[in-house]
Amino acid sequence: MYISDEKIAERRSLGVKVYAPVTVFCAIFFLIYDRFSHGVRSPYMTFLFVPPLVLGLLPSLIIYLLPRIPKQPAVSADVYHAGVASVTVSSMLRGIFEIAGTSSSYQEYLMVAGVVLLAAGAVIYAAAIVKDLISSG
Amino acid sequence: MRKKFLFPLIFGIILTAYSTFTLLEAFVIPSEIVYLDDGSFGGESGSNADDDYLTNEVTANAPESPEPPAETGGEPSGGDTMGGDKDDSPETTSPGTSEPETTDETTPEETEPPAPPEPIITENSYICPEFSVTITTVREYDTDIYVADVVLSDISHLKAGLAKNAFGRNLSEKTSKIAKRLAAVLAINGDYYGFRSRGFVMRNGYLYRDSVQKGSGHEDLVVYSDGKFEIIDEAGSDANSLAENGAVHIFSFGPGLLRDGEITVDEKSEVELALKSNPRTAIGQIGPLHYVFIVSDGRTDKSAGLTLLQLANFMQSLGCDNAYNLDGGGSSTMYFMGKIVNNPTDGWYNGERKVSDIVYIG
Repeated sequence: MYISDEKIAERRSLGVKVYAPVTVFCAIFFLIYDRFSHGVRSPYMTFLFVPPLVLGLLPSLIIYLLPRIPKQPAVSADVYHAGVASVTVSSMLRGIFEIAGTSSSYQEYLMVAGVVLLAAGAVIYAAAIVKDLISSG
Repeated sequence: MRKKFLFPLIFGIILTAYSTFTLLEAFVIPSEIVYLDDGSFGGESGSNADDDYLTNEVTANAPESPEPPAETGGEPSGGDTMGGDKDDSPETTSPGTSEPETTDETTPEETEPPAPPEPIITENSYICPEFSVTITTVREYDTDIYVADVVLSDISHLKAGLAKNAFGRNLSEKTSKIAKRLAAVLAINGDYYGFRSRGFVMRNGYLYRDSVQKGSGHEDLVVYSDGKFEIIDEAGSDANSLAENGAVHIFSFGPGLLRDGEITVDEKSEVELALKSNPRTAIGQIGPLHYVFIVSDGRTDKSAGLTLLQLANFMQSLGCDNAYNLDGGGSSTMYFMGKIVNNPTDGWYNGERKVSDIVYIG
C-alpha cells in the first residue's frame, strides 16, 4: 500500500519534473538566441518559456499539490502534453521566423494543431472528472 | 512501461521532423520558381499581371538582352573581391582600357554610323550618354556611408536582377555575382523578396507576386515608367492596378524613409523590431531621373551603422524627395565596376551574403 502511494506520488510529480527544466531551457534558449540576433526581437521568442510554464508546469504543480484531484487518463495526458509541445515548438518557430523577417504557414498549422490537441486533452480530462463524480455519487 | 512512452516517442519524432521541414522550407528549399527567359525579364508563366500590359511594359522599358552596355565593350568587371567568371573583363579604372577597336581600313567613313561617345570612367565615376554614376564616401554618425549619385537619360537603365536568373523563394546569389552576370555598372542589393512568401514583387515591368503581406504597416516602393518614385501602403494597394498605372518595379521591404521630402520614420521605427544601428541599403529620388543609392557599413569597430531615422535624415540632407529602405544588415552591398565598394558583414562573418535580387544601373 505504501509503495503504491509512492508510485502515485511519483507519477503525479512527473509533469513537474519534465516541465520545470523545459521552462528553464526555453528561457535560456531565448537568452542565447538574443545574443546572436542583432537586437531583433520577437515576443514569441522572448516569452517562449510561457507555454511550458502556464500550460505545463502550473497544471502539473496543481495536480501534484492537490492529490484529491482525479487522476488524468493516459489518453488525455498524452494528447494534452502533445498540445503543449506543439504550441511551444510553434512559438519557437514563429520567433525564429519573425527575427529573420519571414513567415511560414506550416508554423501556423502547427499552432492550430497544438491548440486543438490542448483542447482535446482538456475535454477528455473534464469528461473523466465528470464521469468520476457521477460514479462516486 | 514501453507502451506508456510509445505515444510521446512517436509524437516527438513527428514533431521534430515537421519542425525540421518547416525550417528547411522557410530558409533552404527553393520553391515557387519562375525561370526567366534571358536573365532580365519574366518567362512565360508566373505573372498575375495583365499580359498585354506586360508585353507593352517590357517592350517599352526593357533592353533586348542582358548583354553588356555597348560603351564598355564588355562586362565592367575586374575586382579582386569577387569570385566567379571574369576572364574577359576589362580593367575598370583606366578610361582608355575599354575602348573598342575600330576598323577604319575595311569600312568607309561615309557608311559608318557615328560611334557613340566613349564612357568616361574613373575610380569613382562612370559617365556615358545614357547615365552617369558618381560614388562618394561620407563619414556620418560614426559610420562610413557610400553614396552613389545616379542620373539617367531613361528609366530603362534602372533595372533589377534576380539570383539564378529566376524568381522564387530561397534562390540566392551574391550581389556581385548577379551584377557581373548582368554587366551592371552599379548595383546594390534589393529587397530580398525570396525570404518572404508574401508581398508585392515586380521587376522590370513583370509582376511576379501580388499577395499582400500579413499585418499592417508594410510599405512598398513603386518605380513608374516615367522614373517617379512612390511609397505606398501595401495593404491598401493592388499590385495589378499599380502595374496598369505604369509601375515598372515594386519593392517590398521598407519602411519608407521620406515621402515628398518629409521624414516618415522616428527613433522607434525599425525593421522587425530591431533597435540597433545596422548596415543599411536605401534608394532615393532627388529629382526627375536623378537618384541616390545608399549603402552604409555597420556592426564593425570602424562603423556603428545607422538607425532608420539617421538614414532618413541623411537622405533628406542629400535632397531626396522620396526614399526607401531596402534589405540591410549582412545583405547590404554596393558594387561598382567589378568591385565591392562597402564592407559587407553580418557582424559575425565578413563578406557578402547571398541575396535574392539586386537593383542595378546598366
